[in-house]
Amino acid sequence: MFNANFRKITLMGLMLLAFTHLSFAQTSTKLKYTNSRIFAGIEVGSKGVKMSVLEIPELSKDQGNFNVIKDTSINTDFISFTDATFTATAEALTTLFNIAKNRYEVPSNHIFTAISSGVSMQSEKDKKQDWLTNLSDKFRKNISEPEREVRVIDVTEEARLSHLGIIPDSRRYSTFLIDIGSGNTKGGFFPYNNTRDLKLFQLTWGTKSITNETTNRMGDDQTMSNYHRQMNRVLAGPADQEIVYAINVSGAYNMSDNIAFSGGIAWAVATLLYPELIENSVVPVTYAEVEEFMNRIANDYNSLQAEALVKSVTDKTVDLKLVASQSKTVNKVFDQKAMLSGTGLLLKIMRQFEGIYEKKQFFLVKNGQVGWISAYVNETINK
Amino acid sequence: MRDRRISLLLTVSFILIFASFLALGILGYHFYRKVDKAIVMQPVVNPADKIRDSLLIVYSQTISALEQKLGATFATSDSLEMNLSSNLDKYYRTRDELFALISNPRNDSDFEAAKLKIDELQYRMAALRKTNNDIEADNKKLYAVLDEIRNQTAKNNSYTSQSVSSPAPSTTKPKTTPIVAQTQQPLAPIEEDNPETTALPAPKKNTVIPKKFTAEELKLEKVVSRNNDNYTELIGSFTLFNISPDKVNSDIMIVVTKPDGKVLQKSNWESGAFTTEHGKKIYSYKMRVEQGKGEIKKLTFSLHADKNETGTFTFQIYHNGFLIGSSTQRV
Repeated sequence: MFNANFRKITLMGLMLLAFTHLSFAQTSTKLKYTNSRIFAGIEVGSKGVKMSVLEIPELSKDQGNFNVIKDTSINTDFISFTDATFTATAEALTTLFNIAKNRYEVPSNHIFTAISSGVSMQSEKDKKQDWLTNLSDKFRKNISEPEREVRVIDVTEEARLSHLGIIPDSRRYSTFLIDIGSGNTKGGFFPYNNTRDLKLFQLTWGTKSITNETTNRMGDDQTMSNYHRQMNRVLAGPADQEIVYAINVSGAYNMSDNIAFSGGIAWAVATLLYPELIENSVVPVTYAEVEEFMNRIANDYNSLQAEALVKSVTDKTVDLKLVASQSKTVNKVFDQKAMLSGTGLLLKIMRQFEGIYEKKQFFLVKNGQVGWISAYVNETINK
Repeated sequence: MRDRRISLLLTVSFILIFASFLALGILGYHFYRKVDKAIVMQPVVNPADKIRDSLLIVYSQTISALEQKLGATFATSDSLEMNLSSNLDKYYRTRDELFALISNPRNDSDFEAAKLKIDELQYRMAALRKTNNDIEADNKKLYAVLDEIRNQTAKNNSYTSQSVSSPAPSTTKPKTTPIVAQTQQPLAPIEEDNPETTALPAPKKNTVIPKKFTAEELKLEKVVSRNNDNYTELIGSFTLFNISPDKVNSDIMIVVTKPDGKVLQKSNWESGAFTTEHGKKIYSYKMRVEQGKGEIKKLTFSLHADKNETGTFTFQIYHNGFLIGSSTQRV
């Protein structure tokens, strides 16, 4: 009993801290477009609750045309399905809703709330589907909006919305979007010239799962060179068959000219590989560039630290403060091993598209996590 | 009476003042003419001319040094040629004399003479062998000088393409010039079980990459955007020459730099970064070109620019990381 209370108090304290941080981090809303509307999307994910506040131009014909005003999250670990994490998630959901409504002055009907496919799948696995219903009810009660919809999104719908939100219309039917997550990889493309039918692509491997599998193989030798060697074995062994098979079955090689990667590792590689493009949300890369980058992670990791990156930029117009802060964040989120695992997986997937005669154009998308919200907003307001 | 005097004095003083002003004016005019003449006489030194002159001096010095080297080489080659021909003449003459003596011997003294001629012939052959060796050694020297000239030309060419804006359009086809560049080894397969092999960066080697394209007639024009009142469209055009001996299917990078020094980007999906000989650079737009041998194409593209952004824009075109055309333009 004491333990449960203690955990609850600790969680509430942490949430309060996160909220305080959010309050201080907040700056005045900078709008990019002259005629635009502000929307917010709040998503309950496996790790925590994410909120994105977006500015969408009024007369925008193109999908994926938006400006990210705020992108933040509160870690609550909902998929543990304990009382404490349930309370923390409900509180986080309410807090972020109130921030969007009060601080960013987003009208209630412009705030969209959803539960991600990862949470839904885990609840099915653990037979805890009623927890999702309870969470929605608690949230509705907290914000006094009994009619509010908290949509549970399945994996295909999430991949479809991400494609619609991230990829511009001009590349809609020629781009294969792959989201490399921590525990899995998912994505897809539209093979039939319509945005209803998405050819789904899924892998059970993600950045974290490659790291875990590699760590399990290391034995007593904890050196970086052994980690690199074992990681290559993981990618050549258990992961190889699944990746090659999934890509062949998807038929994406024949149907796509562009391969876009989103997810944490795509953001990390894009930020460290091309600090010159720090303000760009998408960075085009080649297989050779990522391969060389992986060698840098393994053999010259210091060159990827914030200070070295800032020094490496020769273009005087680049915002060096932003380069320093963003690269510091990347180095905090991904350590050398995680960076190596994620890049190894990215390279392994890229390799499947690197033909001798036909070369695909690769893109790394930095703000992939907000993509689905813009598409969700667009679809909802156009209904 | 007194009034008349005063008025007379006033008139005189006015006349004097007027005369002094006139004198001053004439003096001033003469001085101005003198200074003007001096200015006209003095040659105007433009900073650009100064730079051009210093470049001209460096260029003339390099050329004269090369000419001296070449002249010396040619002189040596001529002397060698003379030496060779005289040696050959002597050799053939001795051989003919020997042949005549052996074929028509009149007495024993002829045999003695023939023996002497054989010795002489052997000596001539040794001299010829020596001349041959000298020619081989001089050939090597000549090849070394030619290599040096080639490298110098490549350096001069890359320097010229970087620092000087594209020349006026010409109808003559530009000549193929090689570029010395650092290139990476071709893509090696990943050896999954041996990270050491993949971990090592591919060794770089110096190779001569022939320049495949040149771009001329680089132009930028601002037009009002049809879609958005806040933006104007910047239409760029240029003429691309394929100067390589083959059909080329490749990407060229277009870099348009705004007056504030920032690169104008078409969009996040169409702009990116690439590596040049001077480090990483952002490109405004990447264009895929497919052009046959000797083909000339007029190409255009458009970028969105801020309506209020006016001033001097820089327009550069790169291929394989090398500048193939450049111009600055007030838009």
